[in-house]
Amino acid sequence: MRYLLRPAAVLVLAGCATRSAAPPLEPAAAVAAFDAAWDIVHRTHFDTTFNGVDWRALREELRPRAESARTREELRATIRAMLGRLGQSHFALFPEEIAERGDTARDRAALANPGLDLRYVGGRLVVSDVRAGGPAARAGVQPGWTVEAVGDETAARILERVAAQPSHYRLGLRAARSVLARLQGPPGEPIPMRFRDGQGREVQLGLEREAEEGALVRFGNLPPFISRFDWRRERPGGGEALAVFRWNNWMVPLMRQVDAAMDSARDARGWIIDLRGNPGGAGVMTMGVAGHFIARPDTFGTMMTRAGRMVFTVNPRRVAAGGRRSEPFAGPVAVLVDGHSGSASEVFAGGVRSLGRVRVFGDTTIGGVLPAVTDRLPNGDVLYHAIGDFHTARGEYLEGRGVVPDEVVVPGRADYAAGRDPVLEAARRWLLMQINRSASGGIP
Amino acid sequence: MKARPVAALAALVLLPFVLAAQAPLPSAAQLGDRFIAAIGGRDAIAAQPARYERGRFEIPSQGMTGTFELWMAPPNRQALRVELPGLGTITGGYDGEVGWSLNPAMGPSLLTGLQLDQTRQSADLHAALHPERYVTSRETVADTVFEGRRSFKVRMVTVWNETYHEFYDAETGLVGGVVRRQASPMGELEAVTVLEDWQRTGALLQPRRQRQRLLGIEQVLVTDSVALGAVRDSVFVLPPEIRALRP
Repeated sequence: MRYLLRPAAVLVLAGCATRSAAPPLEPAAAVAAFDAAWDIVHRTHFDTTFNGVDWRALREELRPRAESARTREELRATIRAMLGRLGQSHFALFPEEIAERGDTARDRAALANPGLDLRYVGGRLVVSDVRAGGPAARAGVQPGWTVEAVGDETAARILERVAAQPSHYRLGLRAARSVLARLQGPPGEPIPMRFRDGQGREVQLGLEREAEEGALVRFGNLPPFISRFDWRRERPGGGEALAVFRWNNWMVPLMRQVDAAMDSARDARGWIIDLRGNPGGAGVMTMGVAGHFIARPDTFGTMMTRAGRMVFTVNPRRVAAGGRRSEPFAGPVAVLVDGHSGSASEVFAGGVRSLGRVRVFGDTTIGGVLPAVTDRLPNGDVLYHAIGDFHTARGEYLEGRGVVPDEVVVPGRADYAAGRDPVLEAARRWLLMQINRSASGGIP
Repeated sequence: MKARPVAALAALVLLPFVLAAQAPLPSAAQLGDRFIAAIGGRDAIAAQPARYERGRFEIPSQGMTGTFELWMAPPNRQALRVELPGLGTITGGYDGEVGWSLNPAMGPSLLTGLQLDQTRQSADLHAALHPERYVTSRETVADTVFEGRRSFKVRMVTVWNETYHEFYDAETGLVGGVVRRQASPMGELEAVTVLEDWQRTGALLQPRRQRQRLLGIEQVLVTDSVALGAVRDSVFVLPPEIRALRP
């Protein structure tokens, strides 16, 4: 298969799973599903040492628990416990009922949310973004506010609960995702939330959910995604023209918009590719995007599987849609990432940086880069499992480590409250410096 | 000493198998000729018309199902269009000289190297009649089992120095499958391709189902319909994005 899936919403989806129904379960069916999951990983894991886990012993340990599971949720918890022992990204179990959604209106409704984003800053969950015109914005929620409680659960309790769950991912990411997963779902009763505003006052609100703008994308067995792309030209201080591109996941249907924007922005002096909050998607897209600003078919990453080696190679984009000749963008490129940038975003940022073509700004990324695929288990649930590891052209291993930016810039609560974006500002400063150097005959 | 009768008995039991194993293997050329005869003969291959196939492209374990259209015209032109939900439309082809791919995730590209060599070979509807165009040597190396059927394994070495294996069904003479390193935009990967459900279309037998395992993942191409002699030349014309890439 030429298209390897990269996960987009593993953490969010794991949260969704807890809301599913729990019908009775036959022991034989439970064991069959457990054995199938164990066997798939046993056959396909890229590391025959299973990251140091005695995989056979683990089966013996957990199989009785699967056999005694009385509900599908208990079985799922057992399989997830098995996958969790690997301590690696891209191992997950999607409930059948989520994987089998197929009704567009229902799928879109299931992804509805109040329209806010969160980051973990200084031990607190801070509102980092509010969707213009969305339910949270209409209710008056402002960036920089802290989340104090969701329903009856306080933020402190959320953090304790998340911290108690062993995971490959950092606490702050998991805590934010846990809340966001809870906020996501079909429109209905308002979700009671308690915030603390910029003046330290408590604010209690009931937040509605609304479907997001964007394309609804289904990718095989994976649950559906909402995909969005936008871009703009800007002239900081009335000076050089910069192009800023942003997309929320790596889903192939976005590529037409990405191509059109990058084709038409060849005349800009500098590019900013903003991958903050982008959790991943189809890794194959990274090769097409990289070709918009890299002129040689260089390999920027390698994936090793049991079956062999696969490479991520730039496809230089020398032609625009309709057959117009062009050349890849030759000016400076900044890539923005943060602690919610994962998977394909990390492959891209770490990969193209290893070719020396971009400078990366922001915060260290998730550190979950293993290419993964899905398999159906006998009970209909979908096992999502990594089949390869990844390293960049410079040999950097990003799994568990993430991409550490060249310029680490982490917004604080005050930045969010004031509407400042210090990461974007740092990237602009660097680009303008590069452009000025180039204009004065220095190194571009 | 007590073991000797047992050993002798074992020798008797095993003898036919040993003899069978020692029987000379059919030559690769003989297997090639038998295959040609099995699918309809040299004249039928040489005279085959252009064809248009339509069917399903599936990756069952990933829950992905799409459609494909394939146009082929003798001697060696082909065009392929695959539609996959979530991925979009992937097209590619070979016009007798240029191999190309238009992939929504990666953009347009001209095929080069092994990808081009393999595409040129697969596009040649007369390849079975002229193996020397692509293969410098072929040798039967084993009497074995492939996908549960007794088969002769033939090692092929191409003019571009690629080694791969074809499996000829011992009973039917048809090619049951191929094991080779398949070139792709992400490098070469060992692919096991199984050809099944051979059905007559016009004067020739063609596999209606192809299963390919790559990275342990199976993808299936099922041909639902075939129309002969109904292909317009325009389907092989290079798209503007590909023409613009040519030097």
